[in-house]
Order: sequence, then C-alpha cells, then structure tokens
Amino acid sequence: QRQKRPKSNCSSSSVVGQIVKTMEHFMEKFAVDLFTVTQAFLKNSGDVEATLYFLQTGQRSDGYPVWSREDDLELQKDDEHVRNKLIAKFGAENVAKRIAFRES
Amino acid sequence: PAKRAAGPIAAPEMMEEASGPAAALEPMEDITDPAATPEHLTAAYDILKGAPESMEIAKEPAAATPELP
Repeated sequence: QRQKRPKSNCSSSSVVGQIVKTMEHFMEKFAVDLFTVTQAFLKNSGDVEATLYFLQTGQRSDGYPVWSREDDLELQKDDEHVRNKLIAKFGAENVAKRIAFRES
Repeated sequence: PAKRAAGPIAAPEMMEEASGPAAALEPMEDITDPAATPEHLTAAYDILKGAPESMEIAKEPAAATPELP
C-alpha cells in the first residue's frame, strides 16, 4: 500500500505546470499519446503515482480496478446499495478519493 | 517526441486496449505529486495539445473529462 501524501499547496498554475511536465514525461517514457496519458490520469483520480504504475503495468498497485465512466455514473447515484457495491469494487479509500477528485 | 492526440478526450473505455505494460518498472524521482484535479488535467491537456480546437475543450470541460459529466 502506498503512503498517503498531503495535497500540494502550490498555486493552480504551478500545479498545471507540474502536470504538463509529468504528462510530457509519461508520453515520452511510455511512448503513448496525450490522449492515453490524460485518460490514465482520469482513471486514476489524478494520482501521479497510481497513473505511473498503471502506465507501467496496466493495473493499479492496490489491486483495485481503475475508474470508468459507468463507475462514475454509479457514483453519482444517491443509493446506498450502489455505493456499497462501489466500495466493494474499489475499496472505501478509493471511493472517497474519487469523490474528492470529482468535487475538486 | 511522443505522439499527440488527434481529437478530444473520449470515454475511458475507448482506451482500454491502449493501456498495458509499456515499460519496465523503475523509479522516477523527478516526478512529484501535484494533486491533479479534473480542472488541472483539462488545463494541462489544453496546453499540451496546443491546437486551435483545444479551445473548444476549455469551453466544454465535460468533453475533456468524460468521466465527470
């Protein structure tokens, strides 16, 4: 399991600059296009380390799946049963991270 | 240089086959965690794409972040 890291206090523009550099690095490193790298970030809730691992291995280091559009639609439903299914699929921490990512 | 995307970002399921083992595991000390938000990713995508049509993405964030309708 990866350790939690505090969110950056950088300004939005500097964060975007960091992400641009990171995305360029990933495109070169893995010989993939911008589309693929961006989608990898979206599927991994913007987590750089998770995205890196996903691009390297095609899966997440914690063994859970990456998020899909269908999962996001399910996440929007105000239904405890659906939410519990998502927690079973992704783990409570990943569901919480996804909610935070979507609301950020 | 890496290939650039030909169009706006589509649904994640469209790239399922594109993802996979692409390189050996190795540390990347130069990569920091910028705590990317959908807005940050959209902005970064827009910058990297650098094409006139990228402005349409900026106007329509949902198109650039399809997982977040």
